[in-house]
Amino acid sequence: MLTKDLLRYHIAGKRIKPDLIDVKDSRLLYFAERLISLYEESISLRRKELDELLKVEINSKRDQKLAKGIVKVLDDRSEYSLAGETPFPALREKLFALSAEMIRNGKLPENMEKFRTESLANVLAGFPRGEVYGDLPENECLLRVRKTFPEELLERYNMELVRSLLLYSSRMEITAGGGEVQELRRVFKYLKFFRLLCRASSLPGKKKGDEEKFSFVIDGPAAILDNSVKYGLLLAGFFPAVCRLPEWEMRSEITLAEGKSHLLKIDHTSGLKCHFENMGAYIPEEIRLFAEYFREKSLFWHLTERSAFRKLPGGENIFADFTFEHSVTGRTFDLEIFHLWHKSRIEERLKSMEKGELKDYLLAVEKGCVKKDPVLSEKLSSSPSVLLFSNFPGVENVCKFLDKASADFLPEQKKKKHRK
Amino acid sequence: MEMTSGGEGEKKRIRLEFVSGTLTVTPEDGNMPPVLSHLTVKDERISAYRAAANDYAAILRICGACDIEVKDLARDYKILELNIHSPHTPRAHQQKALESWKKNKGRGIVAMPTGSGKTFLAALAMASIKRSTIVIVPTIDLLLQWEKNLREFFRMDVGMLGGGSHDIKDITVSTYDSAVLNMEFMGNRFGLAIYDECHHLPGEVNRKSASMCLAPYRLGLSATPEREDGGFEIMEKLLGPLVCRIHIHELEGSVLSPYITRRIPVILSAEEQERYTQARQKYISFVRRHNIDFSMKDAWSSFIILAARAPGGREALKGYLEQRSIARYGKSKLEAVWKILRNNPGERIIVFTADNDAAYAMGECFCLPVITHRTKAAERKEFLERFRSGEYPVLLTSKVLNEGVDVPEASIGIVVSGSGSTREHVQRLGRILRAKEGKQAVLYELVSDGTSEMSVSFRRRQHRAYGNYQYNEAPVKELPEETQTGER
Repeated sequence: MLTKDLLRYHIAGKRIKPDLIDVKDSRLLYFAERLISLYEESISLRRKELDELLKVEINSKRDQKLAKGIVKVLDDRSEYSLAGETPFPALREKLFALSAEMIRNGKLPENMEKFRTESLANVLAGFPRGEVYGDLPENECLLRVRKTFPEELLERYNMELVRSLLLYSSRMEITAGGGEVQELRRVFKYLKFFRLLCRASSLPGKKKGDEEKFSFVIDGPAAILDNSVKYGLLLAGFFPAVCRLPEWEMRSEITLAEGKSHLLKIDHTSGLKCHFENMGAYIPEEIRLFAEYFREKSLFWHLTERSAFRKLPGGENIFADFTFEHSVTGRTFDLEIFHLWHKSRIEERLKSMEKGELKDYLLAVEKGCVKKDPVLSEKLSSSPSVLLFSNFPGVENVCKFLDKASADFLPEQKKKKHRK
Repeated sequence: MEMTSGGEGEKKRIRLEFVSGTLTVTPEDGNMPPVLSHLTVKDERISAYRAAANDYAAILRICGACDIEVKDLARDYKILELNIHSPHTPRAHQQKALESWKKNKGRGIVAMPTGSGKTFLAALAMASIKRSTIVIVPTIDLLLQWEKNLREFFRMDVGMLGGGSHDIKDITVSTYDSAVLNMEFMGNRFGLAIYDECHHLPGEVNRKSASMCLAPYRLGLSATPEREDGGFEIMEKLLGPLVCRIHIHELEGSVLSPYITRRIPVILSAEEQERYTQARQKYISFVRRHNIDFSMKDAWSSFIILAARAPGGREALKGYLEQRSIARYGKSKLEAVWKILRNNPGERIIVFTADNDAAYAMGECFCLPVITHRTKAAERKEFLERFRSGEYPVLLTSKVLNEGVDVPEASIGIVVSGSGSTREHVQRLGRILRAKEGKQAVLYELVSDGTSEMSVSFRRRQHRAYGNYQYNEAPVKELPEETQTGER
């Protein structure tokens, strides 16, 4: 992301507008191309040597903040490491022992230059270029730079500019529509992954026949108590997922200086592109592994892409984590997973299930959520719709759980057929 | 009764849970007792009432007073059997501070000078409260130091969060950064929270380490708790009021070493003076041309923005950096430091600079150990241990050793450069004040004569610690070598 000094924006009344760049601008594309080539040709150069080369490129641009920003985005895609095998700490230990001895014994020469050039010259000769602190970050060497194309770099710059502004935000509001519900579900998976909370509601179309839209107010658990930017990093991390939706608008209050907030409003026409090319790239490892293992192990049940989007009376929308379909009976169940950080909704969800508002809906609850609440623990343990787990639900347990839930609901005749 | 909304005599009941650094407060009958309404907010996202974790004690107190039954699922800390194993007995000022803090129900801030035994006071508070405790500190060096001290005091394992460690135990030491990151998951595991150098707490992010923690007992420690930005009120809200203040002069000569401070003007060489004047001229004329008033907020940002856009801006910025580096660590300054090192062969010396560049420039020039935030953990530990043992008589640093690190043997501090902050200067002085038999501490402040450093130096000395002491205004070149350690 970009540091505060690299943010480019302008204020118009109560609005803050990021100065997004035209990713098709030939001059910018040429600049991006030159930078990429420079990085690719500078493998094994020291960071400070590369910085000198970059200075020339940056100085050639009128908008230095933009130039430095693009460099920062590219640099974040690069990897550095210390070159060579010089054991700096061991060499320093030897050098400092000697310098310390001379100080203690009052043997420092009057001329300070002679201390290096004469008194310690032999030990200093062991340091590459005679640099005692040659292993500082500026002396690290460029190891590799991730393959990047000029337009992709400029697109990424735009995204990082918006995300970097979101670091100073306490909540965001998204309006989305026009897409498949499963795309929304993906967005919700990210929301959960970033431990954010949301209030979701449906917005009816303005005219008859207009498509229904959804509005989500997204923030962190404690944001309701103060407008802290603590969740800014999580919001910035989550935001690219929104850009995968075909139609969206995001609004957020940005507080760059205490007491001064401005509205950031941006939508799908901005051209921002989600860089989570493979949406699975940011999905937590345990979820990815679960899905993989489930597909391998389960005979009758399979994971579907069907919408797990449910609407409760009162307009609230909820999303389950997985939807399972039985290959013989066609029966489907949604499964929502509860971890410690959002356990407070468990009871509410149970009530909705008991009232019949959520049919074919199952819960998997981390045991820690009920550790200190024996009443709730008992209630969950005795419910056929709830699976308790320790770290993450295991595939075999989920299969058994689905079989049991399915059997509990199926009519007798179907049960027999199913057993066969 | 105000707290009963059902039938007459029906007792109100609430359930408290710790959720993501907050409390959820669930009234059994669905109606929040009015006495708690000012501390709770209805959170529609989860269809529940939420309260700040740091209001846990207040909620319990109100419920106790109003006969509201609390099912407390929030608290997850333990009562510990804590006994201090130390040959030291509490000194009078520590006893006074402890009593004042306990009198205020175990909440509040204690202001005590560096070297006056704040760690021991914290241990006394822990032994008195006997609850799982988290100690939050600003630097990794302090993290390691507190861990060692508490382990020795209580003879039990102490957890660490930060500096590559993630180990939460009944007694845990954490950096502010790690506490902010982890408090939403562990904020219910400690009954006592101690904030070392608590003037760091009011920052927009740092304050989360206290607001997301439910510890009913809280202790803030600092030599200089005051803040000019209104942050003290935030500290008071999160930790409690200032319950005790001990001044430096009350302890000097007994708990703290006697000390002198010496301000030494450094005369730039003719060549340096010329470069300085030229560079500053470029910078100043640009500032004047664009009417930048540095007494205004955001003036520095305006300068940087203009430097990138306006004609002559880059030269002005370059001029600014050059004049600053000459004043901060030009050759004349280095020679002045060299002279002090040569004249004090038996002493333990800490050299402070304003920035890392200056520290490393000196480290390269004098071939001496440097500690900055870039120093890797193993070397940092090694440098400090060897400095303490006397194996390394000199340690160079920028700002990371300004606060808290305990080096009783250090007797000389050399401030080569620094900011105009009184707090920073007082803390640097504090590094050499820990008492030791026969020790006379000296703080040298090197100021490039005829540069902007003169006014910076004046600003940072506006503290009573510098009030009654004589300054040696003689340029370093004119100082007779044998009188380098002067008299009060």
